[in-house]
Amino acid sequence: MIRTYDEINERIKQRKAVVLTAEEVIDLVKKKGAEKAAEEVDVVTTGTFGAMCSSGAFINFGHSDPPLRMTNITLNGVQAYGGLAAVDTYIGATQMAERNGGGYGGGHVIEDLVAGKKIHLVAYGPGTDCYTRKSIETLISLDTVNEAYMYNPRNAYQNYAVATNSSERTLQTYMGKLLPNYGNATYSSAGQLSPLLNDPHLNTIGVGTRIFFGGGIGYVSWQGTQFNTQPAEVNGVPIGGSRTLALIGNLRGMDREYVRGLDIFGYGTSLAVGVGVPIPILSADIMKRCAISDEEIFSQVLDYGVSSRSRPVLGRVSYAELRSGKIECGGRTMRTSPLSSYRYAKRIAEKLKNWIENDEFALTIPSMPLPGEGSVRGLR
Amino acid sequence: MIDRKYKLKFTDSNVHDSVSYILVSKFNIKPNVHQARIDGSGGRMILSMVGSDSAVDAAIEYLRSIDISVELMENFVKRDDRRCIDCGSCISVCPTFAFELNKKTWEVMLDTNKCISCGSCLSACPTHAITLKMNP
Repeated sequence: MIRTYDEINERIKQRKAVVLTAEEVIDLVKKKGAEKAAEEVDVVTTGTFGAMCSSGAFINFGHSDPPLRMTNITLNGVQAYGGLAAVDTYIGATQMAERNGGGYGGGHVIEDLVAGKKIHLVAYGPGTDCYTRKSIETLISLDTVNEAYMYNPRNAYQNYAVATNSSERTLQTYMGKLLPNYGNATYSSAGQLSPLLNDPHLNTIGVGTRIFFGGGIGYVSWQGTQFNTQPAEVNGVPIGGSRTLALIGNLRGMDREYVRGLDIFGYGTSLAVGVGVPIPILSADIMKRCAISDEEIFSQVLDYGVSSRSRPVLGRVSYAELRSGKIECGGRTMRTSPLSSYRYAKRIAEKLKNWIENDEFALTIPSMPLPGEGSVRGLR
Repeated sequence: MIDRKYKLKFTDSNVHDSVSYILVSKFNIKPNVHQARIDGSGGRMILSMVGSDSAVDAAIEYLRSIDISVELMENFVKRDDRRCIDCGSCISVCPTFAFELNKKTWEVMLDTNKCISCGSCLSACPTHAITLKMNP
């Protein structure tokens, strides 16, 4: 180990910490080698900003007088979960407004809350001896509720498939609009800036790791759902969706800029969340892995024209090819669209770098490592 | 040389006129039909004309003289930058390459002059950032 968490935090306090983004270290390591670069750099920052469907927020509304045990709850017409204690709820990003027309869902409610807007709450309950009231209609906001925190069961996917469409009709999928006859291909990972591609075996990221989350501060709370260590690796990183993170953070302190409701046409609503994870450079190996570039990260092109849990693999392409605007795959040339914003990913990595440099963000030692192994089961 | 897009509207009295042939033979203009929805009762066409300023002006005057309405297509597509998150979903669905990633800033650039108002990007944008002034 070349330095400890404590030593890094001491340097942060003295505003002496050397922090680079995962993009900036690529050239440095190329020039000086991982050993030398590791001696110079204390922390590398990462970032990603894209649709993360498995996201949502817990809210406690506070009690009305007389009190109500809420069992049917809507926020701006979007249903929230009514199976917790009287005035607790969870609103999920993909829950869509009941009114027709669509385009608005749980992700947008969360964005509006973070933006400080008033939210229309309608709730019903059975009426009990302890909670006599049966309904309420009122306005709430981040200022009126007790707690409001995001808890996302699966974020920051470590790599993800590239989608194309062999069928003869346009498909509107969670991977965006896929034109017929291999008309285009879409991809979603931030590649060389993506948090989990820079620490592929989670040597530094664990339960309790403090992160940039939606413009505020969050923490890694657990392994994400569908946590998978099985996919094949090339250059030390998996070539398909693998590890994931469950994240938690206070909605208060988040910034609407990095918490955006999405309406993915034909699929439904979702939430784009900005996530940035700091990676402490504890060894030359960690440094080397942080220096991975888009040329070295690959993903499999899957055919979303085939409706199956295991879609046919058409080929393998690098993120450098994907970002060039077109890929060659299976003898075909396809134009590409990213689905996550590299511009925002960069901005997040830079913002986190800034926080650390200015002693506004200290690193935490994970209280528990995430699993070394995991695989995904299907449903019969 | 200019390269501009126009929206032409036909009526039942002029649907039989071959606009492309007229533009080429009479005015030495290179036409490119991007969209056409025309039947016996009339319709509309979106085409670009490449030619000299004076030729294009003369062609427009001629088309108007045979009762074909001609409207320059400019800024038909609009993007709300407060909504856009520069994800890039729109890029590969645009048939005229109007969207492009700036490889330095990774901003999604929009060249409104390339837009033919087909609407393909509308259902690709997850933040409803794009609107068309005129629906085809």
